[in-house]
Amino acid sequence: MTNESKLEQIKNMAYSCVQCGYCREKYSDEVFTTLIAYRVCPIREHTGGFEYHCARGKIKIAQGILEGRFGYDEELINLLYTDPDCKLCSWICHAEPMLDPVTIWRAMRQDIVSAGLGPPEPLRQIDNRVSEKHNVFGAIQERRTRWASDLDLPRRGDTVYFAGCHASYPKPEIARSTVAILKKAGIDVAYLGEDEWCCGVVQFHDGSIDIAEEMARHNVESIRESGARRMVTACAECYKSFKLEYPALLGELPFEVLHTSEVLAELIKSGKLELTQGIGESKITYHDPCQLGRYCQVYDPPREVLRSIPGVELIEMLRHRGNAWCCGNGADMVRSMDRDLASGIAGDRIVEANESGAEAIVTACPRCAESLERVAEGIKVYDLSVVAARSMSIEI
Amino acid sequence: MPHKLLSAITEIVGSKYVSDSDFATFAYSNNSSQYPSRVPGIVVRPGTTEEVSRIVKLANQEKVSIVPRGGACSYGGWPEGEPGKSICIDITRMRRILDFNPVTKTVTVEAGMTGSELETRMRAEGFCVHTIFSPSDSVTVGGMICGESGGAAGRDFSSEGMDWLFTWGLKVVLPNGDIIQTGSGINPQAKNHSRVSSGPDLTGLFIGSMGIFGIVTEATLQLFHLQPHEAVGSVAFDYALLDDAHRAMAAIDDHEPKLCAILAMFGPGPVIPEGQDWALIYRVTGFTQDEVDRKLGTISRILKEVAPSNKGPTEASERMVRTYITQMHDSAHGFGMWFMIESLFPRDESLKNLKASYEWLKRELAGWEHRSPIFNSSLFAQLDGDVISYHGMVNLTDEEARQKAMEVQKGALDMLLSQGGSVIVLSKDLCDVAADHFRPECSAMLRTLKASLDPNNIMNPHIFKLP
Repeated sequence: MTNESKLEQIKNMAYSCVQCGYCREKYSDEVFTTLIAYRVCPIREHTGGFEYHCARGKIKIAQGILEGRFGYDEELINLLYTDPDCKLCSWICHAEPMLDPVTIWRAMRQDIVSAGLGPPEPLRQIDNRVSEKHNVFGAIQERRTRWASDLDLPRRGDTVYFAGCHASYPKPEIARSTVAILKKAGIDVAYLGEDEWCCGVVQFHDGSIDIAEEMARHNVESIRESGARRMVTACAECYKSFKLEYPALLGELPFEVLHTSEVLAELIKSGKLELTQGIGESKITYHDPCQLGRYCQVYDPPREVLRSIPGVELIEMLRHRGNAWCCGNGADMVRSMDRDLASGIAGDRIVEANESGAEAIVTACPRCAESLERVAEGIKVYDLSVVAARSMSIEI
Repeated sequence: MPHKLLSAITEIVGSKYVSDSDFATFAYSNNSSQYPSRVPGIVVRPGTTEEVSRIVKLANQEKVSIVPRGGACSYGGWPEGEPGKSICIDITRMRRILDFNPVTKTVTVEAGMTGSELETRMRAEGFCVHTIFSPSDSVTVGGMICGESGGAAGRDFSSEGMDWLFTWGLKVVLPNGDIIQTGSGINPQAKNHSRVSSGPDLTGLFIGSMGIFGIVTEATLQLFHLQPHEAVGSVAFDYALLDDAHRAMAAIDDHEPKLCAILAMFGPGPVIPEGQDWALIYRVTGFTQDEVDRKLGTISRILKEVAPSNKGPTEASERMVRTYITQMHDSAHGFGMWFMIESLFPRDESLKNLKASYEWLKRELAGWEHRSPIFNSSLFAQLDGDVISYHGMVNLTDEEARQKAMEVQKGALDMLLSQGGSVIVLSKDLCDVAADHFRPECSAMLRTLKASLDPNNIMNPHIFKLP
């Protein structure tokens, strides 16, 4: 076992940055053919905009830490935690995958936690809630199952639906819609009930890996005990935790991990599910959740579902798919650290959606939906499962 | 201990836009280069020319040096200023278009806007500017002008760059804090529409100046009508047929009217085993598809007549097109810091100097093939001359390789300048090499100018071997 810090373990990555600055602004993917104007870092755009607010500056700071030029003081710690880890800089980086900026500050956060210097208080509170109550809200675990109280869902089955904290507490309509759709498609869906714990997404990002691992081990074991062959979730963050973080921590999982959008797209394609009526709005746009899109490359399935809704025209925002702008939440990191900053970033997305001419934004992540709803003006915000259920005339 | 000007600068720009934290200043200690970090004492992001002027006046009063910063994409060392004390003025907050005139075909833009944003915005209006080749997304207009880079995406020819040829006027904060306007706008009643200034060409004083005579905060640039049709292409030549490849490039570039917006040849680097091809790559633009097709036809004819030894496009030559013209997302960047060795030669001397430099590099890098590799060499056709260019990578965790890369970069430049080349992209350590090749009288004039404009020597000191 090495005593090296997490950052030292990826030292070569920290020094592989060419400081080209594409992580600050990139205006053209193919300079002379497709000109797409965008700025890369939501934090840079909503703060003082210093080098240290975007990836290349933070990577330089990582080099400074490695060289012993300075340590982690409170200001630096707050900087490193006020980041959505939206991965747009990673996506834009020419040196990717050799260089993944987000990996670097996730390593720094782990070192900060190991040294007892973090996470900052707002995130520590979330960590405590997750550790003690197994959900990000600190609500009693018995309440987690309330959305399913009248659904008579079995604990065992071939397919387990994993609701996640947000669909279990403030957004039960997402959970109920998802289950209703799956049932209507003839899928016998099971549910873990109180054995469903938070996926640990915040802890994976804030460096509290021990808590994240506890959540991961419990959830994987619960699903294994349910006998499920596959797990379905409507939450982009839960999906990313199961799809990427859990296998990295625990090895290959004994079940398949699917996002609702993937299941719905497949059911529609195979004719087992049909979306039969409009949803009220004719022009809609899709917001790619960072954790579903850039992290897991799930871009097409949600769009396929939306295109299947009668009378709906799917309009893309200026920035979409790989270069989609973040909703501002970022695994609760930014929202917890700086509420105004999170709202400002979400506001950008609303402006972009309005400029696209869409009447509604659909997303595939409860946390994104919440972020966007908070600042939405002149446009409605929906979750994909809710929209799909409505198109199937399912009453929730 | 806070920087002694923290409070005063905060009063000028507000606390949001100034920082003297250790980590903050360290993030400003380098550019895209493998040279050692040089840490300023405080960093500030002013939002207006007036704020820049006030900071400069303050610096004069307190005799604290200033290091101006644009996109920080140069690859030859970051200016040292006074380590731990200097004020680093980051101009990237100043990124507005101030005036766009389709009749005079000019745009006045704040110097912190990136060349690629400007290009993007002008394209939306049906115009283009001469932006630099790479990394165009991050380089600022001010940086291009003061660092002398630019141009390989020009309209009718590779122009290296918009700074020399297409800058009509500048707004500059002088080292004493005065704000001046150059070009036709020297007359406050006149528009900024021309380089003609009823007197000396003051604009030229600041181009390639590295900011030693003042901080450029605005620039008026020439625009060109956008040519919406385009095509790219390539042909390959056997490694041994370098002369044929160069003859073909020269013939294509010599054609009037000009055929290519970009014309370059890429070959193996001196540490890569021989046997690879030379790739002649080009981009052609036109107002109609027919015009593009005619240009492509002419290029084919020239290639057939002048260099029938070409192998046509190959997978490798097309990859060069993707990497160096269309700038694909997955273009080649490697395991470490990239560096370049570049020098402009007149066309009739470029080939022999390419060969000489190739041999020089081969000798110098013997034994370092895998630790400090130069992965290709190239010639860019520019204004009836050629830019000799080598691209390399160095792993910054390998200190010896880093030292070797710096030594080779400076040594190669010194050798190229000794052969009659000119530096085309400036940065601190390369400026010092260049200054060794200035005529003594020119160095003396620079010293006199600098001392006169900047008696306290606060504005980006120690560049071009000046005090």
